[in-house]
Amino acid sequence: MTALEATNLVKVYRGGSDEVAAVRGASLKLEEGELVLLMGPSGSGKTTLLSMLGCILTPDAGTLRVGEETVVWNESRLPAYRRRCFGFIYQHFNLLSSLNVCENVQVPLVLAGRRSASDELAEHALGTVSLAHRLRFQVSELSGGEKQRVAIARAIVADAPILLADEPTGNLDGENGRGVMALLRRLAVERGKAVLVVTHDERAVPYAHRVLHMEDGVVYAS
Amino acid sequence: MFAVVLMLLQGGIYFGFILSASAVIDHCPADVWIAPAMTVNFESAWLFSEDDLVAIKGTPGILWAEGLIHTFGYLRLPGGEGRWAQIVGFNPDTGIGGPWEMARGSFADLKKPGTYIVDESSLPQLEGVTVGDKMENFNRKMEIVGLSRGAKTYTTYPIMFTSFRTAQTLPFLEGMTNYVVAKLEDGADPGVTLERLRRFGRFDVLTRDEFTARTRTYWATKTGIGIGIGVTIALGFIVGLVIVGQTMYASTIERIREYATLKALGATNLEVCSIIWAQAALVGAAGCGSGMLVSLLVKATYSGQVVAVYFPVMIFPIMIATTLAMCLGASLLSIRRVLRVDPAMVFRA
Ligand SMILES: Nc1ncnc2c1ncn2[C@@H]1O[C@H](COP(=O)(O)OP(=O)(O)OP(=O)(O)O)[C@@H](O)[C@H]1O
Ligand SMILES: [Mg+2]
Repeated sequence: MTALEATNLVKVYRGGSDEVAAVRGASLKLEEGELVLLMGPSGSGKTTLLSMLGCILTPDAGTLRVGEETVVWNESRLPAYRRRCFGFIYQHFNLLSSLNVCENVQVPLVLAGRRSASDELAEHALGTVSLAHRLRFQVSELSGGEKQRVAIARAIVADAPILLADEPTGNLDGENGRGVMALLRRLAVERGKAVLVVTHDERAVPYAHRVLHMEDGVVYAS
Repeated sequence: MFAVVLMLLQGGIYFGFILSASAVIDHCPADVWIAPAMTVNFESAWLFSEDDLVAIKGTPGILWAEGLIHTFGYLRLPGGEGRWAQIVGFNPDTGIGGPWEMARGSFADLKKPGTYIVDESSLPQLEGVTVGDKMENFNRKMEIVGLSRGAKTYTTYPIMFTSFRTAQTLPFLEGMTNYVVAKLEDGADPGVTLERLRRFGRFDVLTRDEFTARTRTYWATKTGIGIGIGVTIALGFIVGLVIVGQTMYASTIERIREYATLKALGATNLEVCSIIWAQAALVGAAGCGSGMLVSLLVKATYSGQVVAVYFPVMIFPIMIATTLAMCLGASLLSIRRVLRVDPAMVFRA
């Protein structure tokens, strides 16, 4: 089943007088149960494209289908798409510093109005990333690899079908990076998630089912 | 918290002041105040002849009536210094218009000519004068025979009580009075009775409440005191607004990435704003709680001293509402900022 399909997405950043056409007609398809890498030179528009795929940035043109639905780019409807369909994993983790590990993982459940089940689900998600023993830790007490695993737990806790990761291994050493990639691969294969990983890291290639290349705002299959 | 203390104490001083300004009127058991026409407050009534008292007493519907003097004395303290003082002359046989609480001595001591009662709270202005001291008031002999309590001064002058007869020995007052205060008979129609008194033509005839209101309004609006305190309260509000606003804004900016993260996780604008509001309410509650506590401590410490501080019960809910309004106002800048934050920033360094 196709989890996500983007057709001819365009994004032009307008800053004062100069315009940057960051994405100029990018199309891609993401199936359930596959891990796809998106690689390409710096500035080729990978992050911009990923933001649009995750309904975080509104494209200037093009269409996006998520599951059965065509996304309506209406400011008031976007939060619901983000909550229901996507889990995000960032290079810079973006955990909430005032909350502990477990509370961070619970945030998507609280936003979805599922607070009552949140303890159990959060513990389960943290178990999946092998961090069940860090439940009550403060974010500041974790290593980089642990932080990224907490972020992954947060991305999967509400059972979103699509995981979008931007340089998830960019701030991690080799071993932690391989751990994160193996985890994402397992989530695709065992849980049927559609996983898209933007990376520069050649060491991620063995974990992917497919590799896409992006250059000058356009996506090419390889 | 500082802002709350400032606003609350200023409010307390304002109410303390306003109550003090009409304290004699409020504690007098009379229903009706008959004053010379054009009397704007308790301190500045012109004079009329004591003979009018007879006619007023004879008016149908009046149960009793008494003369009451408010004047200024010029004292020569035992140390030799001069000092102006506010003096209330009342009938010590009935106590009407006199002190409502005594710390030492009694009304009866005022039956001897030239005797005075000083309010406790005015003692600091009198250079250590105590009961038994002898001095002069406009060259007439004066002796302190007692201390009253609760008649706080609202001007810079000390407050004293004396008998109506002794007060009449002071300049201009021979055979004169400033007020006649009267009680209505049970069942007398106040409207009709007051109208009869007004027919004399020379008097302002006021109920107690009317005279209280007139005196308070005078002090609040004609003297700059109301405006002064109002401005201070407004400043307290603005200072609080700016401090809380700035602090909240700084912490919002510091966490702006986390707000972007929440939006990327699918939090709606309303949900993000409610986080800011919760913080505002928390800051408000903490500030209000501690501010009230400190204000009450300050009041307890300084009460009975020169400045009267009074908190009507209503001041507390008003204060809570004001503080909450202040904090919500202060959060507007932060709200504006988080509404504008672009969730796409979560991907950037
Ligand atoms: N908010 C923005 N405003 C203006 N221009 C932007 C903005 N974000 C990105 N760009 C520009 O758009 C282009 C694509 O940026 P993008 O971040 O998508 O590239 P990228 O492929 O993710 O690069 P990297 O590999 O370095 O992360 C770049 O030229 C960049 O300067
Ligand atoms: Mg990028």
